[in-house]
Amino acid sequence: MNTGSLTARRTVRFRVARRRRGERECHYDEFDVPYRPGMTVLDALISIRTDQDPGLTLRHSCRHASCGTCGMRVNGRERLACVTPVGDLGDKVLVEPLSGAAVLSDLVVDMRPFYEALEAVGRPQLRAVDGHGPPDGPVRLEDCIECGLCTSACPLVATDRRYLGPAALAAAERVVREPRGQDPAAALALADQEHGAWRCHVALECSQVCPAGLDPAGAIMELRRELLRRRLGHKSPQHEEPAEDGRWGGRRRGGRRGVRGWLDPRGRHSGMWTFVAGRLTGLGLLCYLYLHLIVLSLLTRGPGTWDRFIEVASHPAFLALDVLMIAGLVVHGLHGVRVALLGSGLLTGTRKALMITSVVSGGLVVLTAALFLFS
Amino acid sequence: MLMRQRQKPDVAAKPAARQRSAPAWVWLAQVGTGALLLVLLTLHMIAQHYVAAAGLRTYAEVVDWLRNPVVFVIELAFLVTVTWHALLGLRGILLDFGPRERTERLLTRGLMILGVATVSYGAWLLITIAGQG
Repeated sequence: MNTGSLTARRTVRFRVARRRRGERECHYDEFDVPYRPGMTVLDALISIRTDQDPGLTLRHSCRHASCGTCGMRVNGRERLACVTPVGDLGDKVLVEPLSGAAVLSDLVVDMRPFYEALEAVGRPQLRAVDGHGPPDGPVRLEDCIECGLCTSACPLVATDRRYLGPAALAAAERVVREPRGQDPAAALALADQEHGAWRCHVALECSQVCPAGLDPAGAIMELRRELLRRRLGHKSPQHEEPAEDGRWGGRRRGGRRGVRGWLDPRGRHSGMWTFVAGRLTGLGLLCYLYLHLIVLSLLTRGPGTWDRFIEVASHPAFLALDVLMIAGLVVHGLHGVRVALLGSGLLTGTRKALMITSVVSGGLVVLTAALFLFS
Repeated sequence: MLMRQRQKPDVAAKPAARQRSAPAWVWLAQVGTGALLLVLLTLHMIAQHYVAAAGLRTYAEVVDWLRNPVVFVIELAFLVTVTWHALLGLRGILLDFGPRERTERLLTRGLMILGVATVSYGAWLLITIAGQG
């Protein structure tokens, strides 16, 4: 928090992503906004629109983190603009639209596929009491404010346009847990797809950014456990082709960050880094597998070729590469164990302890291996 | 919040266009081969660096080592498991990029062919090396 120091300053510089319909790429405009204590990012954006650029487009409504309409990326992290104090952000603030959805204009993205995915899984709606409430009125998922921050933060949504996304999968889990007259088989069938619950790779960013304090990642794990339980218990749900248009971002690539969504360091957490590390080490080890086969093939050429290779392999630089390979192996293995446990719905209440244990034990194994190789 | 009054799609009523492969089994296969790899890799490392005196270094030591039938079976099992796990993992990463269904099917078939070729080559290598000396 640096609210005190910022109060003394006169202005905060906002760098805002701008994009009009039909434009392929966004550009950034900079605005200096006079700071006042308690100012939120939404206050600043409205101030920009009022005083400097009436053309700036953004969505907002309630101003107290209830409507979920002002979701955007602030300094790279998904936030609700209405409850994000400018005083916490420093003197330069980057504002961008949510990722994974087509940008309609400036900070406004197309939320239709997001809502359609929620509806496709038969999301639980507000409780109808004595005939009051839904279905004729507005509908929404219980507790979830449908802001889309979870989906924007998800590294898989960044690349996979067919992935159902954390919000819809969490809604599916809610339907399964408490059907309220709905048939959970439909939600399970949608979730039990290659691009459904099984696509999640436990980066946990969705739960980190949820402004309502929900745990979509935990819900996905519970959903997978339920799917496994049914499958192993020979009560498999029916498999159906998912709706092609019922996806976050639909068929369009617009707003999707691709691999940049995996590698963007801003505002990310340990789960995201293990996700990236798991993938990079996996690719590295795949290369090593084929390299290993090539090395072994030297044995078919007789003792002379092999002995020359052993000389090279004894060089300290080569041994350092061995340590690097072992480190990759350890990181990948521990990440795999963690994903297997959490992804099967086991030890979900001990995520942090699991992460700390993995880091400490992995570090010790790599250190021991390095000492062994160089001794 | 946005006011919406859409008709909820009746997902259950949609026709089953095509039976997809059971993704739960893909997940279980990845976890299963991963668990098996932990065991086989540990055996592989212990056997090659601790059981074999001073580790396998010379040509004659490696050939003698692979002529042991137990070692041969362990190494072959390791080869099959690691190839399966690695290519299934690669498929997962490639699917993260959301290829179209036709591309997805081609990828799966291509990786299956690559897997069979890798295991075949590795097995040939093991047999050839064990047959020397």
